[in-house]
Amino acid sequence: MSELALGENKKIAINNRGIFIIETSKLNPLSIVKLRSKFQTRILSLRANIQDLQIQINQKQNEIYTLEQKLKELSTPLVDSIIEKEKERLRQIYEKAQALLKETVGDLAYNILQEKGYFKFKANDGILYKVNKYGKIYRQTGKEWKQLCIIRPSNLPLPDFILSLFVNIRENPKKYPLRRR
Amino acid sequence: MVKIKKLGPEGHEEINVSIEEARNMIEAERGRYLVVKDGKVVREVVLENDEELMFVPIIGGG
Repeated sequence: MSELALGENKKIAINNRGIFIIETSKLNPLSIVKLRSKFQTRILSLRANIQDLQIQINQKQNEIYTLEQKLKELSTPLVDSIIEKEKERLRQIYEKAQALLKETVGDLAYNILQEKGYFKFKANDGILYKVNKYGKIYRQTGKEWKQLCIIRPSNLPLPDFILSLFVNIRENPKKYPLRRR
Repeated sequence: MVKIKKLGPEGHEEINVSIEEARNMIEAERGRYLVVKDGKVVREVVLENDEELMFVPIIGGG
């Protein structure tokens, strides 16, 4: 390392990390007092920040504890059995609805729905309609199938909804407009 | 007695009601349900004993 004087308070320093200008200035007593005050203020501010962060950490730890307790409460064998029972109930509702759909649309249409994912039927307007396994319905327009705009009730099991679509559209096809794109 | 299958959130309910009760149900659900007899929607139903009806919710168009 070598140093080269540039003036009273400036020096050039050269070392293997690079070339630097080093400037020194004398602190007068007033500046020292100001610096002390600045450092003290900064220290207080950082301490306050740490306190805030500590409060946040404590709040989050409490939240974790509460959530862990709730999770524990919801993970007992009793709760598992309730979930299983509910799944079984929904499975039975679905099966029952499937059986009624089969009975209403007929074995042939039902089997086509199972195999191809849709079945077709002719409505009162003499036009062909196609309903798929997701409950979407299409009207034949020339060579195209155009989807109808349907408001699906959220409270019907899917097979019951397909059945309802079949009955409603077969009866009142004109009531259902095409879906806008 | 009249057997009624009514579609709803729990799948379909099957209930047996008297002719009078069935008539009241048809009246009460008019505009909300289509009444299906022997696979066809019927407007007026002449109710007889051992009749089977299905109540299908009316689906709205957008």
